[in-house]
Amino acid sequence: MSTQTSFNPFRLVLDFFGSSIGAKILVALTGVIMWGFVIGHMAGNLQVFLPAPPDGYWGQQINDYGHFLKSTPALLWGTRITLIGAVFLHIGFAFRLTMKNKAARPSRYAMKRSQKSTVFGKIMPVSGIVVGLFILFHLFHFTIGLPVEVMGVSNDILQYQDQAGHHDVYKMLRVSFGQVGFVALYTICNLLLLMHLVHGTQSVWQTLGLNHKSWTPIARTLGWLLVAAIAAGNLSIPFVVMSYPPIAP
Amino acid sequence: MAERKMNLTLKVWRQKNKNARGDFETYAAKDISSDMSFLEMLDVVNEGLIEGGKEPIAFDHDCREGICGMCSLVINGQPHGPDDGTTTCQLHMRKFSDGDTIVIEPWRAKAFPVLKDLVTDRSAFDRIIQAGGYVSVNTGGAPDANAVPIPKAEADLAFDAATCIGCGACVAACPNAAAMLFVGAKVSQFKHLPQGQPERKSRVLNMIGRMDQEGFGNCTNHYECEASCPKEIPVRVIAELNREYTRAALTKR
Ligand code: HEM
Ligand code: FES
Repeated sequence: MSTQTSFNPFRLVLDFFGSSIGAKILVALTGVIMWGFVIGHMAGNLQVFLPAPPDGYWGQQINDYGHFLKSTPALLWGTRITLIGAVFLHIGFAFRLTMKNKAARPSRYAMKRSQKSTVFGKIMPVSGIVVGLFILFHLFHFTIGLPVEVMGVSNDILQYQDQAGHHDVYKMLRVSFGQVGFVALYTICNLLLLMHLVHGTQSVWQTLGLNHKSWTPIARTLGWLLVAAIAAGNLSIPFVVMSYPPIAP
Repeated sequence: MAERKMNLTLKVWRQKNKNARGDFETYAAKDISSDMSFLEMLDVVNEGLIEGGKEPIAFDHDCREGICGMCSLVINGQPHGPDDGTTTCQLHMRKFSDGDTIVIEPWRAKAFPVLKDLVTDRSAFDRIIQAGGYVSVNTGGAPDANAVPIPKAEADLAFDAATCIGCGACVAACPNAAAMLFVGAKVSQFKHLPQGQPERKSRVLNMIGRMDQEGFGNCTNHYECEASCPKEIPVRVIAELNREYTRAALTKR
């Protein structure tokens, strides 16, 4: 008699992600997907700094980029669906793991001396929640439209049009980041994202089973550099745009 | 090093039994020699308690030479105390100074319930080992030791992992009370040896299955386990565990 049971890929994958290690790996993989997005999203947005093309106007490049995305539904919706999936799985499984971890230590130590853990590592659930709420706000701000006026900015910013009749992304950014409040909010949230990604990049290799005595330290250093570059790139947008002369909405 | 005498204040976790609420009691440890081990210091305190008609402090110990893994105490917030790569029984009082206050607690984890005072029930580890932490050797003569070639580098990796004494300091130190350094050590030890190959997949699947049932937490890569392990087992074994489990779970028959 053979012990071979029929191959059921769904069962196999569900069992795997239901286990402690499978859940960790799912959090790591969805984290990597979001990582890819964060890089692409930053690179796209940095086009706000591109100069006017000959015979064009300031902001035309990022407006054209916005128009390109909106008129390429396969790319737009492909990315959106992948990200929504990744975000829900990441939060869901991270939440499940965090709850189990809390339950595994019901009584606390009167005295606990940490030796290796870092602050960024310890606050992962908090930084994650703040980043999650920020993503929601960010979507209302620039994609869906704010349901109420916030610091003088309303959903009107989604109606701005440039000379080509495209959505004027450039003006939307200048109006938003003309408000210090928005600059402060984006700064704080991006710093929390930085903290989340620092522990994430240190962790992800280990979780995925890649630990090597020479490569791992290099990968970690590169991780740090990448996170720093992302934070600098993202934060440059509100700060530089804020320094432009004010603009009427 | 010349012997010193010191007077210490101990804050010790006392708990009547598994279901009782525990609390800290303060004791004076007088005239302690710097040459004593930490457990010998506790023996002296206990003699005093017994002479005074009081219940001595219950703590686990067996070999007192750093190999059995019984002496599970969290000392000043660190499993096995402040010294690196040392069990409590091998910790010397010369690491402390006259007048110090020392806080002594049991391992704290849902999977390691406190039985009395500083003694915890660590049989969850035994059940994980029973689930797969072995190689099956059926009857027959012992094979010649050199008949199975093992490259030196692989043997070293296996041996690093095999030094685990199952004390549970990794669980005690982990912010999530995870047992992944312990399970990883066993899985890594056998993974690197030819004798471990026949049960390679079932071992990791069964051990992780049991580990999850026992109520341990999950590694979030803080590496407190590695820092507190008296045998300095590296977190490399957790990466190996993750890889081994993934491979086995997705290709099992
Ligand atoms: C949306 C809200 C988010 C929540 C609630 C959240 C929560 C968490 C939690 C609790 C962990 C596990 C912590 C640990 O292992 O110590 C984690 C890990 C991680 N997160 Fe997030 N996160 C969020 C967003 C993000 C974003 C936007 C990214 C990337 C751009 C990201 C990337 C990562 C990575 C790479 C890991 C490491 C996985 C590993 O341990 O190997 N997360 N997250
Ligand atoms: S008593 Fe055996 S290791 Fe400490």
